Amino acid sequence: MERKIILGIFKDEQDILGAVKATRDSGYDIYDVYTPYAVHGLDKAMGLKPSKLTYVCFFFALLGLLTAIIAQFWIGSIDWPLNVGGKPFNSLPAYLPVAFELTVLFGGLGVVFVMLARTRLFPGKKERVVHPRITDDRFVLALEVRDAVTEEATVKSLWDKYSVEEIQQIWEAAS
Amino acid sequence: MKIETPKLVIPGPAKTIMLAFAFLGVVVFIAGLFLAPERIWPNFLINEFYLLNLGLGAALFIATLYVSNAGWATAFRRLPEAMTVVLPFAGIGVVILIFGIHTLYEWSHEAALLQDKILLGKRAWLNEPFFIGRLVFYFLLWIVLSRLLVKYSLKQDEDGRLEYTFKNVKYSAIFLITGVLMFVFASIDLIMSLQPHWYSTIFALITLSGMITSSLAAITILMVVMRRLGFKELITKDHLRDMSSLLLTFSVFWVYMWVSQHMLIWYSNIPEETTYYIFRHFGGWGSLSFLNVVLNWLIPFLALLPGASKTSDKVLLQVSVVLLIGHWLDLYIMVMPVTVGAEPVLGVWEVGMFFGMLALFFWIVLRHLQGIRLVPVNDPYLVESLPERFAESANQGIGK
Repeated sequence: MERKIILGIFKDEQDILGAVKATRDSGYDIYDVYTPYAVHGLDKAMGLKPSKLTYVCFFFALLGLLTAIIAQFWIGSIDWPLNVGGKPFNSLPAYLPVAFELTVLFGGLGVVFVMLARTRLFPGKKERVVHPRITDDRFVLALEVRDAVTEEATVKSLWDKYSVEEIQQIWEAAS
Repeated sequence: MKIETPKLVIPGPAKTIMLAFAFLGVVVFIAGLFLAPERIWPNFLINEFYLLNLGLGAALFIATLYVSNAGWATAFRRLPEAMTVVLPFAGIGVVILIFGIHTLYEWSHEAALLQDKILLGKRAWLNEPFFIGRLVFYFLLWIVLSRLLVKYSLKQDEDGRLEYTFKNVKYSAIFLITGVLMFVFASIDLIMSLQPHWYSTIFALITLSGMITSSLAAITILMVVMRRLGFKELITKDHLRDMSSLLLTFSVFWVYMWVSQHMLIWYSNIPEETTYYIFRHFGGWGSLSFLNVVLNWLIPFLALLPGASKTSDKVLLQVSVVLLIGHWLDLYIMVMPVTVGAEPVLGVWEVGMFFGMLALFFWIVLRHLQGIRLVPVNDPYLVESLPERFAESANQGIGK
């Protein structure tokens, strides 16, 4: 099966916001929106759900915290007890710096790698740019439709209100 | 660009309650002067320092906004501006505090001083005339600079000239350097010199982060109150989210500083440094020190982590109240052990003065807010701070 996608190229931030809202109100599924910078209110207009990555980050941070505490306890009190400044072998205050660092390290790296895996990004991946100017000054709305040829007219009338500059069609082979 | 600015109206009963509590605080203070001066003076110091924290933290917030050209908070900037109005009252408080110097500070007694080699060495800094002169200087500087910031902001409402913003950027930069430095000295003078033998180089960072957290909590409470009184369109959920991110940040910063001081003193274990914590880590004070970290860090940290609670009025109000109480406990642990000894006490003197101070603070701020325009209508950054709907019409007025 292949996806039929219509691209609308817009010139202005307000236009793309309006177009996204109007398109969703007419019952279309938005495939994605590409902008040169983060547009305020776009997440809400697209109806995106809050990212689940925050939970991943929390889980990895907790894992880092536990790793640090357990490792230091095992090393310092069981495997190789060393007398440092007359302190007890098992002293929580001494664990804090490493615990803090490993919490941040695990949380930070974990969430980045999960994000890369979820978005299927890896070194050497071939880039897919829907429009050469989305990194410059154009805003692109990508719309998934059932029949690109017949629906282009309705979509065009919808987008004309937001001064759409150009409409393109692409067929993407389903992965 | 025209924005409706309705006046704030505080319900009558709320005003009466606030005034009653403030009055009660004054009565408790005067009664305490005769009945229990050794309890009332440290309490007065705690609340005086707390009131200073709330006013000065708000001025710091405004100055940071100006210097960083930040626009996100302009819509509710009148709230911190109103909070700086308490600084002159804190100035009156410090004049009263001068009468309590002998009860509070060991170094102010000539007899004790002459027998103590360490105190004699510190005499050049810790002596009464210089101490009083410094305090007066700090307060004059804070009051003058914060008055200027508020004055030009209000003036801009009338004629909308841009030069007021430039002026305020300049005064903010001066305030951020001198005002904060003076606060560092003030916390050393007022709090750290209670135990004149002990010193910590990181001490002022704990009081500074506590000041910022508690004043942010007070601003947040005022924002939620304003939203409940019908200003939901002006103070939006986006503003709340930004404020709660700041609250979370500075609560974490506070505990970072707290742990830094505690851990280094625990590790190096030098007698002249550990005196501070030996006192505060056993018995009742130990439990309170633990509660201090729970109130000021653990509860706000866990409560503000989920995205949903960052925009919830209810959660933010509760967390802010916890932080306000937590900051009082933080100061209580710093000040009280010196005068009341091995076990903590909590009575009418502590509770009465704390609630009196808070009531006085909110009464002054809300009364001031009633009399002024609630939105800086001519501020060039206002557009960035308003909700989309306003901003669109404002954009068309200015840009096109």
